[in-house]
Amino acid sequence: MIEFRGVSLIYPNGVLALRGINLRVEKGEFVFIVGPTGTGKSSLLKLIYREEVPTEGTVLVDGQDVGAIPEGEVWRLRRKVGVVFQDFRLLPDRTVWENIAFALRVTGASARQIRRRVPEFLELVGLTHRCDSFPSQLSGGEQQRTAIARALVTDPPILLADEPTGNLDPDTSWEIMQLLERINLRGSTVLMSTHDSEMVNRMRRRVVALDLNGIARDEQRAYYHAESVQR
Amino acid sequence: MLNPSSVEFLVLEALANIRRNRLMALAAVLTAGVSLAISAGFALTAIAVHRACEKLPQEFDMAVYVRRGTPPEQVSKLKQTLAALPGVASVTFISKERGWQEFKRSLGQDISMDDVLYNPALDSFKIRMSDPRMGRDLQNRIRNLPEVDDILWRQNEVRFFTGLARVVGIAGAVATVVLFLGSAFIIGNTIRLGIYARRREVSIMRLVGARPSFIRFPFLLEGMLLAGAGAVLALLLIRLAGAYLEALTGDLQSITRFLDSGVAPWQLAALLMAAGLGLGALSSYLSIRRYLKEGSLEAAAQ
Repeated sequence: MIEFRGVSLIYPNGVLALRGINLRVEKGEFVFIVGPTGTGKSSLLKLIYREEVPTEGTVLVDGQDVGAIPEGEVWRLRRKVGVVFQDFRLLPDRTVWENIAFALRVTGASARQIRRRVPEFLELVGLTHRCDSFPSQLSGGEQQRTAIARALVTDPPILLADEPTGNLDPDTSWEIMQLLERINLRGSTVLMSTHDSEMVNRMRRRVVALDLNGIARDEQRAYYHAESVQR
Repeated sequence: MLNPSSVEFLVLEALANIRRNRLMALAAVLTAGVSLAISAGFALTAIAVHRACEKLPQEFDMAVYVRRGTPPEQVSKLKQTLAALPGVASVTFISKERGWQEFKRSLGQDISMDDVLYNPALDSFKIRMSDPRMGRDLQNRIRNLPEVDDILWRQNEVRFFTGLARVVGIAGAVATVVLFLGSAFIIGNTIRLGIYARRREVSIMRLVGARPSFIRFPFLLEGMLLAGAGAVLALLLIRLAGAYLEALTGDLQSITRFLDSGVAPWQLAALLMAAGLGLGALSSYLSIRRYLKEGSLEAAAQ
């Protein structure tokens, strides 16, 4: 589903964000991307949805070389990849319903599709009762649920979550975590970058750990720290 | 490709944009209106002056004097020869008797020619030209005719006015284009501000995979609506200015008739509207294209 082949990324200001990344993620997998700040967790995700283009190497999504997609065709890739962020990025002047419907509207869905799909995803993220609220009236967890519903409502096979619980308290974080797990069980491939060691340890999923030299560790059913295994 | 609900969404987005940036939209309509009015007004004036300068030399007739003693049959043959020459619109015969009378009348009462016992005037032809620019050629051809004694024609004045017509035409075209580009720049800036105000929406559209044409459309529509409204305003301003000028010149019909651009009101309206819509579409297209190229998805985070 997703493959990195010898990928390096150097930003125009000269900062080396990623070095020699080789990574393969199969369809339906759940992967944590962990590592200290500045080791390129966000950059790695950005390469998948073509917010960045690798300086070296190739990134393949669904067998397609992402860096080679012409500017005018990037939208096709974006429809395969849903993205949620730490800061939610909701439209403040639109309700929960409108925020979710927005993704459908701008991708050309019909009014009927919108009426059918929005309630479905409101239910998935448990926000049916808050559908008329504005983002400012929601808790952080509810805002993130809205963002997740918006990312998924167009049915992308891949969900990227860039520190989705970074702004949330531990209980709310755990709820979001469980929601992402449920989404993974429905068949989505999920990549999530995080700092939250407790959550990673509780989940026991595949962990890709980055350090300044690239991928330091890539293990199934792993912990946040390598040494945790010995505990 | 677009379903009805998408079209509805796009149109509502464009209208919502305008409503959200009411002041900016108003400023854009006003600037577009004023600069379109100025540029159209300038164009109209330039056209009118250009036409006037082209028309004026036609008033300068060429006088062809017939050699004394030419028999009448040959004079009437000469008339036919002259009328057949290229660039000649009409030929009028003025007998030496009439020429003499007119000359005497032109002197007024101060000088009396009654003591002059013989008629010094010559038979002549008054030639009206269809195109004064051909006057020099015409003059040379006529000069070589054996029956012709002399030619009188205000060649320098004609050259001056035809030259002036060319200068005014070029200057008018340049000024119109410059003013038009100025309005394009202002509308483009307004659209860019609108894009900036909606950078969140735009970056989310890009994030979830909206087609670039879909993202562009509301801004194009907005630009065309603003510039179209500007065109209507410009039309009103020009009509007002026209009415004011008419009131000012009053019965000086010679001036108003002379300074006629020859552009019908409906032509002006259609031209202004086309210019406005083109202006709006072009300037918003350029603005949004540049933004879509440079803009980052991070805008949603701000």
